[in-house]
Amino acid sequence: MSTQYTAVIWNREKKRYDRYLAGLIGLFLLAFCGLTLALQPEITAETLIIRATGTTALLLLHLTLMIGPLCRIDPAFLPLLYNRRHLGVTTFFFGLIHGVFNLIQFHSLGNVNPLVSLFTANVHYGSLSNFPFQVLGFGALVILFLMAATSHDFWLKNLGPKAWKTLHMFVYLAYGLLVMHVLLGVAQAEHSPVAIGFLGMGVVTVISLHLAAAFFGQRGQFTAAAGEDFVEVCGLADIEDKRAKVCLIGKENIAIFKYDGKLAAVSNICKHQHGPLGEGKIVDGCITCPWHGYQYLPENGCSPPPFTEKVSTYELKLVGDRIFVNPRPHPEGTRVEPVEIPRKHE
Amino acid sequence: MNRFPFYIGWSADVPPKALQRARAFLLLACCLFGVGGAWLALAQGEFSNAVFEYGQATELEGVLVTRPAPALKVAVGDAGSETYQRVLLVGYGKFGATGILQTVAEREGFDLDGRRVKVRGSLLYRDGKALLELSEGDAAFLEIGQPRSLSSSRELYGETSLSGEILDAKCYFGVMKPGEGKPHRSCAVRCLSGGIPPVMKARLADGRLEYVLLVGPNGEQITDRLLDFVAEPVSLCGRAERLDDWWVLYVDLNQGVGRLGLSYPADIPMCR
Ligand code: HEM
Ligand code: FES
Repeated sequence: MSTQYTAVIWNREKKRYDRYLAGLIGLFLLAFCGLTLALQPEITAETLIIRATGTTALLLLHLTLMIGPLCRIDPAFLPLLYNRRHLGVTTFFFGLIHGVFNLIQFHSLGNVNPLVSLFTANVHYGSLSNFPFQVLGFGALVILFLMAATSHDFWLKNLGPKAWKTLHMFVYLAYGLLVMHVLLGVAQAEHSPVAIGFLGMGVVTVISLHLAAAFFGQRGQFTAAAGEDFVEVCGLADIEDKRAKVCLIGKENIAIFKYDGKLAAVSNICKHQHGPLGEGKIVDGCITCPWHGYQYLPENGCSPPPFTEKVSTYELKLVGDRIFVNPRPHPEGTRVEPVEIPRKHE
Repeated sequence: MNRFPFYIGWSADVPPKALQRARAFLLLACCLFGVGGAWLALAQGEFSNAVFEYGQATELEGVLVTRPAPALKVAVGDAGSETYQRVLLVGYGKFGATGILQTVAEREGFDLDGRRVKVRGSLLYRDGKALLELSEGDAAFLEIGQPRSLSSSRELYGETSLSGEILDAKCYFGVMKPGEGKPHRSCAVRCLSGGIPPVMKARLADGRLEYVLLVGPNGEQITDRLLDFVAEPVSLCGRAERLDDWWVLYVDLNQGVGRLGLSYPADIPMCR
């Protein structure tokens, strides 16, 4: 929602977020490297760096993947989501150090280009236990790179939110690749069940949070098949003031807001990163996205000037105290007169 | 986009409930990262006490032999006892010493095999075995003397079958930890194809561990035939002997390499 782009817009919250993130990583590195060096000083520096950075990256990826569903289950977690981008970029950065050190250690100074060696040294692509697991790590690193490189709003704007969102869904592929990277890699050599146990816990946590979010995210959402002109959604009392009711009618994802004695309906999908507008709030007369605070005017779905984002609007009807919506969207930014709520219902 | 005076669309301050959630999440993450870091550190397998004296030069004198693998025969024990240790010679990075020996032989105009030489390089050692990395390439040869005929202590064991893991000598005996097993597989392939001698870490019938140099029936290099089988449990057949302080297996390739695969219960061969 900017008219121009800066590399990173810093504010107090982002700085605090980054401080906590740095502290968390420091804590891990201190515990892991400190104990390893104290107990096994025979370890080589390369192995220590490789293990410490790879594990940090995978841990951070778990946090990144947990935040989304947590916020859908309980919006009070939203402050964690606000600066998730820094978490993602940090994940990539640690994965990069790990990958580069591995390429240097295992593939450089040989008779083949290191990147060629990565794919051709071990060619047991048909075996599970002998599978060239490093290739899986490389694939994940490429995805993390693309995501980190396009994480800025500049790219979001240029790719369009749909392509951008699709690209960022690849994070799940990266996650799957990394789980296999560890299972077919170190897990084949290390005998302790601790690492596998941790990974198993991580996978179970990520999957169950997503399942829970899919379940709880539908809570209070109205669903109907498309077809009729106007669809009855809910009663006036079902919507809190300055809040919305989300309804899914056919393929239309609609948020119906109640504010200042009026009703207005817009698309539930934020133009920024497809955040759920219906979980947002009316602030200063604008629908405000819960994810990063983009704003839209309820009556026409347009961001207040100088911003240019627009979402679709929908026709509403009030019969008694029942709210009806017409699921056929108006073109983005079309003004639709809000429905006045008669005094007796307020 | 941060023109709004509130934090994530709610209010000027983070609502108490959100603050509480963020704190809880942070606390949990701290526990996870702290305890996890410590636990994962403790759970790591033991690292060997192998040493690579990287950047540290040592001068060694001895008789150069090229078979079964390039090595320097260095006298050990009392003078005149005729006990020798074979210090395997390898090149810089993931290369063997053969290329360097060829360069020097061409430069000098004679074969180096059996000559008394003085070389400089970085030592690697583990479990009583030693290697010397000729880090400076052909400049590592400081002196080249006359051919000397030296007896080798030899013990023939006859036809046998050995099982264990095929490794590259350089990583295992010093450069990398761990320099064996699945995570190291592609590196071992790289090192072996660069000419570093293949060694089997073999478990003998009586439970003892032996390091066995692998060559063809006539002492020739067979690395290409082994590349597919490194870093996994395999068995090899052939004629075995002990040559000074190393075991050598003259691998009978007609019998093939047996994949044991016992320590890989997860293996489901998909297209083998
Ligand atoms: C070019 C890309 C990559 C290569 C070549 C690579 C290679 C490797 C290798 C060889 C190991 C075994 C190291 C050992 O013996 O301990 C390993 C382990 C591991 N890798 Fe990767 N990796 C890559 C990318 C990644 C990425 C992007 C991540 C995470 C975001 C990752 C996470 C891990 C983890 C958690 C382990 C287990 C801990 C460890 O042993 O280091 N890897 N990787
Ligand atoms: S998704 Fe970022 S502000 Fe809506």
